Amino acid sequence: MSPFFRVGFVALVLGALGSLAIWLTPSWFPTSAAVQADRQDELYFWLMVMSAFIFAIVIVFLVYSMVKFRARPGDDSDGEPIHGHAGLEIIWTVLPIVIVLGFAIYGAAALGRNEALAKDRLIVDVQAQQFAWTFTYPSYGKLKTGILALPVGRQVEFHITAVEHDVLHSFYIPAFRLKQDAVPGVPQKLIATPTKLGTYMVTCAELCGIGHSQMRTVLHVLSPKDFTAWIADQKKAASQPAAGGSTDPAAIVSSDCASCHTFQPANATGTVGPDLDNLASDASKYGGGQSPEDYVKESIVDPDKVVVPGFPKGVMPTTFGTSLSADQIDALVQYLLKGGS
Amino acid sequence: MWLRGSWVRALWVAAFMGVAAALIVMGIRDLSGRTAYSAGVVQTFIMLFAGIGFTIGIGCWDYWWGYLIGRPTPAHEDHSNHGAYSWKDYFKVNTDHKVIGVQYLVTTFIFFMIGGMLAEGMRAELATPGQQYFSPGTFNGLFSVHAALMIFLFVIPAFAGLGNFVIPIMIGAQDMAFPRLNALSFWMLPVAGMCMVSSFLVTPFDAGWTNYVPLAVHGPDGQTMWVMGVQFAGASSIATAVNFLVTIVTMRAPGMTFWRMPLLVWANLATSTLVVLGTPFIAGAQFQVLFDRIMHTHFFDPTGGGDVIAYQHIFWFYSHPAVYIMMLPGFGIISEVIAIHSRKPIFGYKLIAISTVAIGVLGFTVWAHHMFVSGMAPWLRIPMMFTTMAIAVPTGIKMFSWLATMWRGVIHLTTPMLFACGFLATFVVGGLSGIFLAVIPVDIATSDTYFVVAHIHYVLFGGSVFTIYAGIYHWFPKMTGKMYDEGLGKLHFWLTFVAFNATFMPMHWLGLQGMQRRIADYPSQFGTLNFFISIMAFILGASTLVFLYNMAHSWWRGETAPANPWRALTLEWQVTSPPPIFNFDEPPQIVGSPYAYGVPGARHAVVTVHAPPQPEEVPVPVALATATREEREAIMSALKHILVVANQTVSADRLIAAVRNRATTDPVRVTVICPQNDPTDAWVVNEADVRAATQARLDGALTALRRAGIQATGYVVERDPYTAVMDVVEEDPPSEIVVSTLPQTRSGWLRRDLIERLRDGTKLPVEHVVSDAPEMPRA
Repeated sequence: MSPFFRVGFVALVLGALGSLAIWLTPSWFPTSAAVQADRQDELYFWLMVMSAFIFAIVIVFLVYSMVKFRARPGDDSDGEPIHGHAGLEIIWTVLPIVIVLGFAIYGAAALGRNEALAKDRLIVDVQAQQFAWTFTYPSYGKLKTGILALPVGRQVEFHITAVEHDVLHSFYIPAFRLKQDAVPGVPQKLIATPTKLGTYMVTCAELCGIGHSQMRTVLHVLSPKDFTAWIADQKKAASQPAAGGSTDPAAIVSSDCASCHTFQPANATGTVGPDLDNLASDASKYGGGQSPEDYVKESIVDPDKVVVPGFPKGVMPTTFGTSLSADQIDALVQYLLKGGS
Repeated sequence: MWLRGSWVRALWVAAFMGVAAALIVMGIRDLSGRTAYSAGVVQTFIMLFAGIGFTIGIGCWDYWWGYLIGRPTPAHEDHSNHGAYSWKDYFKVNTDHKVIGVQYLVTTFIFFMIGGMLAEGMRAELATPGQQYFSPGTFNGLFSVHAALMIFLFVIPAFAGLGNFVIPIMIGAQDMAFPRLNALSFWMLPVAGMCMVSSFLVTPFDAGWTNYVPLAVHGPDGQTMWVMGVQFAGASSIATAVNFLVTIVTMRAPGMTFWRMPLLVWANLATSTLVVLGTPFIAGAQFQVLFDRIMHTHFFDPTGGGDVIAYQHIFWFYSHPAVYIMMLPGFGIISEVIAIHSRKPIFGYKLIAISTVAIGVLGFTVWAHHMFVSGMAPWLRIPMMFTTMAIAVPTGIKMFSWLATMWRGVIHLTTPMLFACGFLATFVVGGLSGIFLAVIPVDIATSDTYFVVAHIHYVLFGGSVFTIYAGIYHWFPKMTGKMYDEGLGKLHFWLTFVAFNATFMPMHWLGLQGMQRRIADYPSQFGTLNFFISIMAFILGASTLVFLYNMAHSWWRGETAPANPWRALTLEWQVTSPPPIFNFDEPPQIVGSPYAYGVPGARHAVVTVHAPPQPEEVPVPVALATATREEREAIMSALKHILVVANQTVSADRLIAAVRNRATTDPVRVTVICPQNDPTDAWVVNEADVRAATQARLDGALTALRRAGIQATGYVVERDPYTAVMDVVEEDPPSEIVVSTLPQTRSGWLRRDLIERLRDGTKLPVEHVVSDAPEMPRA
């Protein structure tokens, strides 16, 4: 057997051993909690097997050449003037075409199955804004929540939007291997079928500004029974305060403020914006003679008018004036100034 | 000093134009009833006019300005700004492509170091979870400026710099087609870099190098500086690409057909085409972002009817081809380095050249694979996946061809060759992870995660940076005339190679686990691996210091490099190190492949090097040496003067015999002139060698004549024999001329009817002696 075939054989053996090692490695992937994740992992696995072979071929031929054909000291001779080999060149043109076409077709098929719609699917609206997620369940009385819960085994169709004056975000659930950008002005859809009970991370994958890395929440995949109970609990929590729904300032702080501001009474620990525990003193320092109430209200409605030194301008959303009602804002101002009572 | 093109003028003109523009725009705003100061508007005008002012002040526009105002054109081309005669010339506007090439490389390396420091800052912050050194806003600035500098001020212009130095010599040209435009291209780079770096003086731009809207429109003041930086870098890049295209298409030496071009030239041709077609898209898109910011247009603002996703399409329509702008020149360098250091012809030359063009064409059809999760039209994903897969094929062809080139070669593992091998090992990883990312479901899982960070660094560090290092080491002897330190070079390679892989390989896994990119903080479960990555990143950064020391120290006091240390065939190695100011004394003649290593008798080109001017020697006939002046004149006038014209046959027996015959009848004195010959038998014709060989023949002839007692003087003269004879006839008229040539079939002089022309021109008797050239040892 010529050296070329011998080295090629070694490369293929090493590729096979590499594939075996990949197959035997436990916990290569993070937890898979959706049908789509399983299909991704399967694709990823076969891509790794293909890569193991190609990587082995390149590295084995490279290292063999570097060792075997290296010039001995003082050797000024030239190599054999081989200009090409039609057969080899055809092989390494055609074979890669076959491989990549195979994966393209495989990928397209997996994508089609990932996005096939089921009849009984649950619709959940996802709204992104700097730097928080809001989930709405249209089939449960438009219930709004800050964390996500899904029943196991039932397909869910996310309708993903971003607040109008906001920026791009990306709704990303690593355990589902799924993400979809939230685009101001262009509603998006994403299909997932949860398969495994548990609590998983939901995060933003598209750079959205200063609070990007803090824009996380959690996803609970629940049994259908627990899901129904969770929905009931959320509804109860939302309707507890006085008439008008969510004028509960503590709830507003948790959903709208907490990802950027610290406010101990609401267990908020964000560090993007000023610490709201110091709000009263900030109001007297930077309020420019306004009453503390006016200052706080202005800071919510028109946050760029006065920016606490040391914090950047243009970060806090300017949309709270419209997304919150006047009652809500008043309640919030009182709540914040009175340190949470 | 204040008014001539210089750094002083650059600074005051830039300051003056920036301040004047700011004042004018503020005045207009004030008069029209707006607040005079608006950060975005004022910054835009300052950046634009101060930037242009800098290029004016340093002297890039002086010649064109003179032309514009009708200053009389000098009769001869003014070369006062061409070529470096001292280190100071590197700090001035210079039109020599070699000086510009070095200026590019040094400048881009400075920005590489700055960009690297920003990356180390990021890794310091990311070493442990939580916030340590930088606020989230500053962190976003760190990675945005890092990527922008690395792409627009390092990789792209570093290749432009290497190409600038090497390409014109490789194709046998004296310079680039538009040397002044070339200088302007370079001097726009520091402006672009200053725009980007100085954004840290206000608030750094923080929307990533992709500058996605709406974040970019909402972003801090630094955004404006980024936009202006991209405009200067883009203009520089486009101008250089036009320059390369015209140079390569129109200025190749005779015989340099497309299929005889070195592959680096092919790569540059394809790259320049991509730049000319693609870069205007990013320039336009960034102007639109700027207008949205400062003029409140609504190109990309959905609330005003704009389209957010349109930006991404325009951006990637440039920025995907930009990936190949950052790869193809590297592929070209690798083809040169591997063939030369393996002492073998490149395997499948034509297929590699065709793949280069194929990548360039396909590169424009794959942009939306960056947008699989962006919310673009869903149907577009599948076709883009297929084209993206297709582009892996020509890239694979190149990988395999390089491996086949090394197979059965005689591989010299010099530092550039090590970097080329390192490139093969790392780029295959980047190529394979590219296939992962092309498969849509895998992309949906891994896009915007550290998997992408790993992929892009395997392609642009393992790919581009390794090839830039390979190129710099390979051409360092040519650029500086000094050898680099091989031991330090190898240390640099191994440190870089190991630390690079240790830094970026684990990132694939992090991304798969769900760590998204561009985050200042991450869930603590990723802490251990991130700490390891940070340590490796610091080692990777430190490895650059070895390179810097090696370059600086070798340039300063390295060993002198020979003209062709790698025994390479391509043209740049056939001239001195560093090359002469105008590269070639005469256009070289290209006669064959640039890669014919191991082919007996093969040549790529014939290069003619003129001899340096030598002081004229006054010939003193031996017998007259002791005579007084009067005696000498008397003797001389009494002798019959015979002029002998011969070159290769000057010491032939027949010629000597013919002269001696004359001496038997009359006392004679003989003047022998040897017009130099055209080259017939060498790859590189060094005129100094030719002159020495001719002188040796002449000395032999004079000795033979003097032995026969004949008063003989002789000298080697400039090439054309007819003119040479006429000169002698004018100064010291002979009574007879003897011309000796090779037989009719081999004599160039006879082909030019020398004998007849001499008879007509001098009206003297001319005798023609025919001999074969005697065997002469070469000088």
